[in-house]
Amino acid sequence: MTIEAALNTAMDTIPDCIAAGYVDMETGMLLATNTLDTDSADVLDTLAIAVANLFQGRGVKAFEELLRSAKAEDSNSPGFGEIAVFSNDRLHIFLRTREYPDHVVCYICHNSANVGLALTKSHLSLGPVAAAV
Amino acid sequence: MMDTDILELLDDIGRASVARLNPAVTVPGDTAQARREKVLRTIRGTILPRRLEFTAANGDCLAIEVNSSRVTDVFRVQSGIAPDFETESREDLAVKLAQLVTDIACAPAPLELVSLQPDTALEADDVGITFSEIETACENIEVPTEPVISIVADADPDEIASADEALESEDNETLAQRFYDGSERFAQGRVLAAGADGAALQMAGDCQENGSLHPDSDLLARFARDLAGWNGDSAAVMDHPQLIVMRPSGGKDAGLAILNDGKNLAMAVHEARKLGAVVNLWTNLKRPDG
Repeated sequence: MTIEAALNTAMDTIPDCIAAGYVDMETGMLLATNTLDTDSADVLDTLAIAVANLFQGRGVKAFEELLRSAKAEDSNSPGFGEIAVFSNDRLHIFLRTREYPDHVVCYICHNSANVGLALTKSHLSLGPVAAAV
Repeated sequence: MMDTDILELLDDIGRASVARLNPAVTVPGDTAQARREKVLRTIRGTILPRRLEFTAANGDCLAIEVNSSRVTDVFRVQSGIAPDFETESREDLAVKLAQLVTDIACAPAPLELVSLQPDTALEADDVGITFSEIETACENIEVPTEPVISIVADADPDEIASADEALESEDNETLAQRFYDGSERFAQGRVLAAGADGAALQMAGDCQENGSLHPDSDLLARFARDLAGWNGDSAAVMDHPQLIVMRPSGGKDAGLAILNDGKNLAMAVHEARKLGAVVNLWTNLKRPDG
């Protein structure tokens, strides 16, 4: 299965999802996209460059470390792997893949989406998408 | 929503719609500073090759060619000679472009924008000056403060004082402040910080001094820089306010919710099972009467 096909399948299950992209944070490039309109394709282009600030920023990593150190019983927490950004009338979901930590899957949904379901479904889609890389 | 409600809404939209008679759009912004940010944002958001013409109310015009968020040529300037992309250094070009952007933003409002097809095809060596270079150069150019004229007829000093207090209180009641206050019921620890440098304004719960989740000033400064980087890179497609929720993979451990209202950052560390409360608070604050 191609990455595009895996993203397409994921979009079918994620509520109100209008775009999906597979981002390599090392280069800020989109390795695959699947969108319902051209505007969303432009948005994905921009987010592909921006998202590394959230996953790889030094301050974010320091906050991860702070949370990890405060949680004595589990020091193996992998850090932030899921980030949701609510802005304008959109919900943007970014998920880091376990297999390729520098790769992020991005979904854009209308803000009418059920947030819990959108997060759950997008998390479930990670395996098939990463397997298609 | 009932079908009839939707039909009524569509009917209202149909009646209120006005056909555009020309391709110009108004660049929003009551101040020169706001207009400069919007002009920069327009450049940042222009991916395909376009010729952008900004025209102020007094007829001043700046016409530039933009491609992939880079300015590749200048066709018309308010006064003087347009920068020469073939002979001038990148640094000089960035400074001149920043000055041109600032000048057109400072010209009398309203500022109108027309986006046109470029006259010529882009050449391989038209690398252009990036949005970031121009934005950085803009930071060194101060926008003149616009005069604020107040006409007060024999105002009672007590009334003036109470009006000032009301304004101050309104300013203090930012969205980030309200998120910080509202998150008290579900957050393990909370921080309100300045968006510009991460300076802590308020801390509560486990984030307080000596608390297990207390972030020091260095951590907050770095965190604010990360968010500033995110804001800068995503400005073309994202507005404030924003709610950013960061969770560990699988979402079982504590998460971090950040409300960025463009001025301040409200951060709340919360248990995974409290995510619904975070989203509910955001939804309530975003309501017109929120």
